[in-house]
Parts: sequence; structure tokens; C-alpha cells
Amino acid sequence: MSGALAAAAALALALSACEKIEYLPPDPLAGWPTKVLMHRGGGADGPYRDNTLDAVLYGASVLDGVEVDVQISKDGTLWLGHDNEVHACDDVTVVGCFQDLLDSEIEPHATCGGTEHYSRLDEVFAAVKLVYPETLYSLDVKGQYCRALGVDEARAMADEVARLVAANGLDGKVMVESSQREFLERIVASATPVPSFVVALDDIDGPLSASANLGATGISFKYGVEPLDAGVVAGIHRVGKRIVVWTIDAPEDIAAVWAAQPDVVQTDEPDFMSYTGGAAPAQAGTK
Amino acid sequence: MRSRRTVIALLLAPAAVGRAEDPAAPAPVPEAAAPSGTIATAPPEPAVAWSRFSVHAGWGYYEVSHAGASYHLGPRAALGLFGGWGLGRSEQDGTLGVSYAHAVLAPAWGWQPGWAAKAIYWTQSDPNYDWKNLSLVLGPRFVADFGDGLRLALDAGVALTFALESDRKQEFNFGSPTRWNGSVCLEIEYRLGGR
Repeated sequence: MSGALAAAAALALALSACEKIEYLPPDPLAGWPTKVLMHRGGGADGPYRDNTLDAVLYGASVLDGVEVDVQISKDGTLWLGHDNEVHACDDVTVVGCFQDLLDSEIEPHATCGGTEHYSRLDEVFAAVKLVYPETLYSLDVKGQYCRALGVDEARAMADEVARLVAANGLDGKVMVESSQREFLERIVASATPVPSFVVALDDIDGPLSASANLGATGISFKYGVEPLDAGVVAGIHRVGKRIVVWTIDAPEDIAAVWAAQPDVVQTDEPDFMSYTGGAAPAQAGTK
Repeated sequence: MRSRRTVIALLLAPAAVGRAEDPAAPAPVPEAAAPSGTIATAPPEPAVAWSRFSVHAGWGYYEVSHAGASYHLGPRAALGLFGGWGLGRSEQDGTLGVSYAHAVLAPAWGWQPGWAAKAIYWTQSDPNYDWKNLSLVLGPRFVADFGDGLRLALDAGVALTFALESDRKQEFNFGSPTRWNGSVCLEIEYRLGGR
């Protein structure tokens, strides 16, 4: 290659270089009136085992909505569960991983001593659409780490979520949170109206940019890793994104987060509203 | 608070290109003297004993204005260190990087082709954030040898950048380093040693 060609190639690359730092452009939207969701269905210390239908029905009865964790079986069925591993009724013995187990291998552990141990998402949706059809349900879609990278599982989970939401008429009533890019890309690309949130474990800025790049709704922010106040929430709304904050249990945290006006808050505290200090703050929407 | 504009000046290594021999190799042994009574021929030009080290300076998109030094592992490969600092309109404060350059094929039209890989730690302070980032750059590299140890190196590649640490100073603008970007770098290199 001649020097001229080399110089031309280098010049082309230089001219095509973008700014080193990308800032999100303004795209203001109005914040949602803050919705409070019960964490893991019925709360960590609730009367029911977490991530079960009973817990979901309880959580939906006391707050604005419910957050549950979701896994996928080898059959492609979505099950409620925080861990990738399926545990036997003693909650110690590991039966296997959801993604490696057929539904027929999970079902023997779904009920233990007459109480729910594992529930399927389709049976949860079928129940709540009849009892609490206006409630907001958030699905925390976990990564599948038992084997491989879980890319196929992530796509299958997105397809199944979209299918179940449409089949149960829960458009706009189900949102998803995940750190899996494949899942989020798939759910955003689907025609089903499911708000999607990028999980932010370490900071706000990177996941917020990722959310913008993916076309997701916003971020799902682990409270405490960096300061959060009404100014930050307003700033996130200013760039066209929303924020879910979790898990807010301590009374002082409830008061502080409520004052910040995030779009969604997740809590284990069924008496959340008694610590907010009164009515919801005025929403400062711009669109 | 703006970060300190501390910069260490070390440098990248252009590949040892355009040389038929390893510059670090010992000089060739002169031929035996002509027998007595014959006309003596002129002694061969002594080989240039280049050092394995070179220094360089230049400008790059992520390297910014920088200088450094390289250790030539062989006739075609070099390992370098460099440091830089933002000048002019650049908001980038400081740069510290390592590089590996390798020549491939034969020179053509005066340019030795090759490739270079760099890991560049860089900081930037602007009204919105204090950043500490890492860019990994990989791409082709071309070197022109002007003789007397002086060379011009041009590399252009693709940069993958991660934020190592960010400190947002306001609640209005949100951003992150551009994940995939283009990068270009131009350097003058001087090989130490020789005549």
C-alpha cells in the first residue's frame, strides 16, 4: 500500500472519530407518579415464600405493584426464582439449574408440604389479570450462568415475556429489568409494550448511556452506590429516561427516595407509605 | 475539582522496519587483508550499531501530545511506553500508555506496513465530569525511514474505551466514553545509537 493510501486511510479514520465522551441529548419527559412495588413478590420478610404466586397476590394487595425474579427452564418456561439453581424442599439440596432442567424435573419441587415453592410466570399472570389487572408487575430477568453465556436463553426469555404479556392482555402493566444486553435488545425490538430498564449496580451514568443506546426505558438503580436526589431524577427525565430504585426499606431511606420522585421504588416494607411523610411530591414533568 | 495535569513522558515503539538486518546484531567481520603486493581495496563501511532503544514524540487522538521510549525486541517488533498531555483545545488532561508494534511484509513505496496495539489510560476533566478511562487501540501502522535513525510512523485503528472511574459534577448532563471510536496517531521516532 502506498504512503498516500496509508495517509488517506488514517485521515479517514481520524475524520470519522466521534467525541471521546458522548453526552445524552435532551429529550424531556414527565416522570411517572412514583409507583411502589413489593420486592420479590411479597417482600423479603413477608408471610409467603418469596417469588411465588401467593407472595405476588399478597404484594399486589398492599402496594402499587410487585417485583419478581425470573428464570427459564430447559423447556423455555419462565419460572419465578431468584437463583439460577433449583433447590429441593429442604432449600439446601441443589437439584440443578433452571436452564438445564425440564419442567417435569422442576415441578416435583414446586410445592412442598402444601405450600408453594416455585411458581410459573404464566400461572401468575393468569391469576393476577383477574384479581389485580391494573397493578404494575416488574420482572427482574436474571442472567443464566450455569453454563455457556446464556445468550440463547436471554433471547428465549424475551420472546416468552412478550408472548405472555400479549396473551394475558397485560400491555403496559409489565416492565422488565435486566443487565443482559441480548434480553433487552430483544424485548425492545418486540412490538409488545414492555418498559425495559438496564440494571445499574455501580453507577448511574454508564447504564443510562447503555439504556439510551439500547432504546430502553431507563435504568434500575441499586440505591446507595451513588447519591440520588430530586435533581438527579429530574436530570434523568430530562434526557428522556426513567429510573427504578431498589431496595428501599429503612424509614430514612424511604423518606429520602420518596422526596426524589423516582418513577418506581421497590421495597420489602409493606408499610412503605407510612414513612413517606405524606402525599406524593408534585411531579415536575415537562412533556 | 480538576485532576492534576501530571504526565509522564515515555514513549511508543515503532517497529524496527525497513532494515535488512537486526540492528542489534554484531557488526559483520571485515574480510581478510589483501595479500602483500596487491592493491588494497577500500575497507567496507562499518555497520551502524543501533541501540535497541528509541525515543519518539507525536500526536494522537487518544494519545494526545505525547512522548516516550521504545525497546526494540527484534528487527520487526518493539515495545513502548509513552505519556502525554492535552494541548490546545483538547479537554483530555493526561495520558499514560503502553504499545506493541510489529512490522509485517516488505516495505513498499518507502513505507513499512505493520500493526500496533496500545493500551491507553487517560484522564479528562470538563465541566460535567472527571473521567479516568482506558482505551484499547488496534490497527495498521506505517513507518517511513528517513535514514540516520529518523523515522515517521503513522497508525490508525479502532479504539475500545471503558470508564474506569467517573465523577459527575452536576445533575444535568449524563454521558459516558464513546465505546467504539476511530483513532489516529502520528509520531517522529529517533533510534538511539549509530554514528
